[in-house]
Amino acid sequence: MKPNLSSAAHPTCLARWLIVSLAFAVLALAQSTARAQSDGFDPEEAALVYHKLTSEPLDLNAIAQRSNEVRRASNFDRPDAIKAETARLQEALDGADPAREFTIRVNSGISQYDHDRGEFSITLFSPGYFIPVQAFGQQYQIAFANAESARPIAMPKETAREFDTQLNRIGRSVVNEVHFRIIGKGDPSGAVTGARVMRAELLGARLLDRQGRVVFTPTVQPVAVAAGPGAPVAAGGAAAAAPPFDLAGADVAGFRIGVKAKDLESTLQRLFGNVSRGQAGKNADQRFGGTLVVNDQTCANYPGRRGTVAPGMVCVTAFFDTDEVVRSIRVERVFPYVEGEVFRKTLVGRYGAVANARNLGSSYSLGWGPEIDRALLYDKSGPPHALTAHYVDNRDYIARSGNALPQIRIVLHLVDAGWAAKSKP
Amino acid sequence: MKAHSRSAACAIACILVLAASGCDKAGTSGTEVSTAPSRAGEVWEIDRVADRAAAPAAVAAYVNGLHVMVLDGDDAYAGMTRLRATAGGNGARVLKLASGGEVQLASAGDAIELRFSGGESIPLRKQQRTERK
Repeated sequence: MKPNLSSAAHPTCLARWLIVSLAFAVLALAQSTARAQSDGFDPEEAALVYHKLTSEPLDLNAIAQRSNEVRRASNFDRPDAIKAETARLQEALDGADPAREFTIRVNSGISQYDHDRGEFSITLFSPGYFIPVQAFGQQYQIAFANAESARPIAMPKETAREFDTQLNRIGRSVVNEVHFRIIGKGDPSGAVTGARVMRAELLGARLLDRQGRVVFTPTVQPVAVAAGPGAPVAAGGAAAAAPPFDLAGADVAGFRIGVKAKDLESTLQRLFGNVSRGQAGKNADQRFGGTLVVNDQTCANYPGRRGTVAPGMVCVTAFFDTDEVVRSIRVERVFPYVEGEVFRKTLVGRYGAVANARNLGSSYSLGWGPEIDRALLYDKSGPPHALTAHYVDNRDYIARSGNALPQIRIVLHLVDAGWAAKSKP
Repeated sequence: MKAHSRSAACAIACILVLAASGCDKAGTSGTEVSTAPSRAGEVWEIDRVADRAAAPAAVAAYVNGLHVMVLDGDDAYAGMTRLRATAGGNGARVLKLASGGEVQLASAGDAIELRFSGGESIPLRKQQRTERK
């Protein structure tokens, strides 16, 4: 059917043309808004700053091989293209500026009003939330060290009702424009786990509606203030409330490293009863001279021994060196089911900002202090740090298929990092 | 039960009396590395099967070494960490923890209640040890 040109002049057709034109205009605007969300943020630049700051290796050669420049090159030219691209990446890494500030816009949400605390929460700034970033073919996670200061939207109930109505009108969905810089590695609250967690300092933020109008401007405290003495206790147990980690004064369940084995032995005897003193064993590190053990391997369930492990059981394994000085101590206690969030909040409150966190499904581990030789670790797939805490589903692998809430075993392990570094074979 | 009540009251009373004497072996930080006394004082521990409501307090007690400890006068031995008690409100004693937080020890019948500054609480009972052979 041919179009009737003259019908365009008809009032109804004119209206249709206007609607269609308006729709195209809105689409074009939406596309520009989407583009604007990534304006000013270069994920590769952020990744380079992260690697420069943390000295975490970046396989430039592998990245170069995957680059468009190399893929476009002929087989003949590919080796030279890889060299050139690797050199370009190395130059970019060397030139990365740790002081660089970034701005990114991400979709976010605002919680329902918490009547007990008198506040709304900004989802992105709640524990466990992060901004995923793809760079060089791998994922990075941006977690904010001072997010807790920006999380609450505190207001009295009467004001909150009006604000809540405003939020409902926009579907509680906002664009969170965050201004930040990268300051290191790992989520200090321990809630964001996995590889390549960029620790960032939030410098400012604005919550915008879809039209770009400001809905709320959070108050942001710098990391130094948020982590300082007298900082408020975070609702999510964020690291801001705890003092910086001090390895020299650290203990696990009150037990220390660097003490004489006989002193530890008498303390264990008083608190728990029987203590076994023995050789370090074939599988132990050669630098250890012996062990002190309370309840040898009786805290973990495994097939064939199920049902004998009860809440309240405590196991201790300490290793001392040939001078009879305790260099490693591991304490375990079995609990009735306790949520992982309780573990995280308590441990962060006790030891402060987490250096590294891993979540392997049946276990969740946090680490503090300097990195140590993996051979000295309790869990070799966990964070490689001098102090580690592990939240472990205490069911054996067969029982895990059931629906019952599991017992939880919490393991605390402390290694004398200074001794480990000096005595490295 | 009466014996337990007397033990709890006695432990708190010992803490009060010795704290009043003013000896300050623990220094200004309130904590120091120390071997637990081999005989003096009594061993107290948290309920082994605490309900879920008490789980945060049980975890906090464990992490701070207070899940099994020796109370001897004004000293509490949490593992090899000696904590010094000071006077708190309502007859309770206060231990300052390494993390900077505080925990109150309050007499509660035959038990001593551990009350953390975050609001969590859990009872401590005198240890009834059954030696493993």
